[in-house]
Amino acid sequence: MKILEAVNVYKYFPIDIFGRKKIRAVDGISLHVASSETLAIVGESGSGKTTLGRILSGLVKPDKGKILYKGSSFNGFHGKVQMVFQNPDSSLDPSWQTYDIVSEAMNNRRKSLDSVAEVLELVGLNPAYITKYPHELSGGEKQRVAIARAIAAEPEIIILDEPVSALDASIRAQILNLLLDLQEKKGYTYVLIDHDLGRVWHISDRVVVMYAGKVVEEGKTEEVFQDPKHPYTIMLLSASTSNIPKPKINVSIQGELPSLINPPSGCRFRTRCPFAQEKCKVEEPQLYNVSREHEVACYNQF
Amino acid sequence: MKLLEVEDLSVEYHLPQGKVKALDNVNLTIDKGEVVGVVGESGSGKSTLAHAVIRLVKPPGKIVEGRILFNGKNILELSDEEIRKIRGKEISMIFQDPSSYLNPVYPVGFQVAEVYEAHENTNMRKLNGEVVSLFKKVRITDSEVRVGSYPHELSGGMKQRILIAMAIALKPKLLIADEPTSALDTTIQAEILSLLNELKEEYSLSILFISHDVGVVSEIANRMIVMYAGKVVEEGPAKRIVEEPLHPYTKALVLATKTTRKKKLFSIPGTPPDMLNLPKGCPFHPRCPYAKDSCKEWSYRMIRNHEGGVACAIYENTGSS
Repeated sequence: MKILEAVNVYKYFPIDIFGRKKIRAVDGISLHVASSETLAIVGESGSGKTTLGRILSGLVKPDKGKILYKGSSFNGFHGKVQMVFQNPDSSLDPSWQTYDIVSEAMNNRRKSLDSVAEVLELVGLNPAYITKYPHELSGGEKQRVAIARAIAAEPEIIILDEPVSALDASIRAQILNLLLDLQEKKGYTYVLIDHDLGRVWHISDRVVVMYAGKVVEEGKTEEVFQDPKHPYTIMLLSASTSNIPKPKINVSIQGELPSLINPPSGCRFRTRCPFAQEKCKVEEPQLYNVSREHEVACYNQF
Repeated sequence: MKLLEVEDLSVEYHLPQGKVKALDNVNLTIDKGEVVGVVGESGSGKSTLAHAVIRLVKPPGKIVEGRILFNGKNILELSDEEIRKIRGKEISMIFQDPSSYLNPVYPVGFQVAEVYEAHENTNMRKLNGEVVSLFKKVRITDSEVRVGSYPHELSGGMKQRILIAMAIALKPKLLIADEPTSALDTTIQAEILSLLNELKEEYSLSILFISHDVGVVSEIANRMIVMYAGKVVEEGPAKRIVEEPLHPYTKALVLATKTTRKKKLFSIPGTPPDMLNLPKGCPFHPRCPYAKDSCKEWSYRMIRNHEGGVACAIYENTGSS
């Protein structure tokens, strides 16, 4: 069942006062998230994945296009979608105690010390943490509080924007295990935004690969990792130091993400693509199905 | 030939809350052309080690003990003037966050040229050609144009290349890289690593590579040092450490990076230690799955073998010392 859907969503950010120059952060994206699955969105920084996450959570309104929650329009699902951000230092109010942070997300009937303690227990913190301020917590504990705040609102969907990237290696595994645990217990749907392919391979069911504001490949994680079809996906897989399946062909990394103010004509990846042809300059490749659930936007076939 | 020898180095921070031993009797050697990786969590002392090597530990931190021999000279005994001549020229450094080490109001080419001016009194106007070829060396496209760019016009990966250009300008013998790729994308990280590898070959540069990511370090390092709570807990060839880690902490770090689909990751219980209040005995024992009562009493020592060593009570009788 599709629980959340983006239909042809655009978001441009103006960067001069006349609004003539715009950064095309999200440039016509459609995707869906199925109930209780983990959908990963991957791409380099600047690919638009964080903006897309914010649009999905309702924090940012798209310029064009629709977000559908269980088939109906966006309004009125407040609380059903929650977010966990990369840096708990900036997402937790330093002058609030854990109780305030977590209970703010609850509706008034449920606000009580007991219910906060219950939520904290779910994220592996004992009730003593209720009166602590963020500065008294370690990085991992802060992120647990941020997760507690997200689940206190009793959401169905949690958008995880690089949830462990800022944490120490040994703490990362604890937080990822906690997220897997919570999903098993509560059936949450996750949207994981991450640049680390090892983590994406580890916890996601499906993956969307973004490049310069567009989706270039999408499909089941196993299929996309074991049989990548887009040269950009292959390049990302080749660059990873995690132990994930190594692609059959090696696409070495060249150049950097193009300007999103003035993106290249045709295929946006062509400026870095070793397989680019004349055609790629002229016409933008559209997503097509290579198998039932695997889509790619590229003229080449690998 | 040994280029750098760190012997029994201890660094303390005197804070209002108490004394923190950020480095506790650390030993380390780097040969000419060798890449040594230092791995550990935040707070393990790895950055303090990097700063101590070029005597950049600032108060309240203080080097309280030890020797740092660079090319046979003890860095700790040099005058400020002498150490300034070594910094940037013979030992240079790159950092995690390139933006905070570039001046936002000067073109990057000018900032790189300053390195020559500071050490060789070269007239800056004559340097444009040198800087452009240096930019080419670190694979900056459109180098002629880029020398005139300001930091805000460049991406993170590009800024890191500028810092690398600055670091290698005077062909140093040792490069200290403190988490140089942690703030960068995976793709840019791979490029920076291959660039460092290339420069290492070309200049027979030695690199002290500091990172919290075992995977990244094993891509580039010949030898690896694992630090925990200011102490070296394991040392050896990088390949061996990744394939057969000995210390329980190293085992945990390596296991925590092994991802399997949808399975629980191995995770180290507990949190990194409170440096103000270190546990007695082996500092890792509260988190160690192999800990015995005797570990609380065990006094730290490195059990050495021909290729490195490990500091763990488990190997107390099996290793040769």
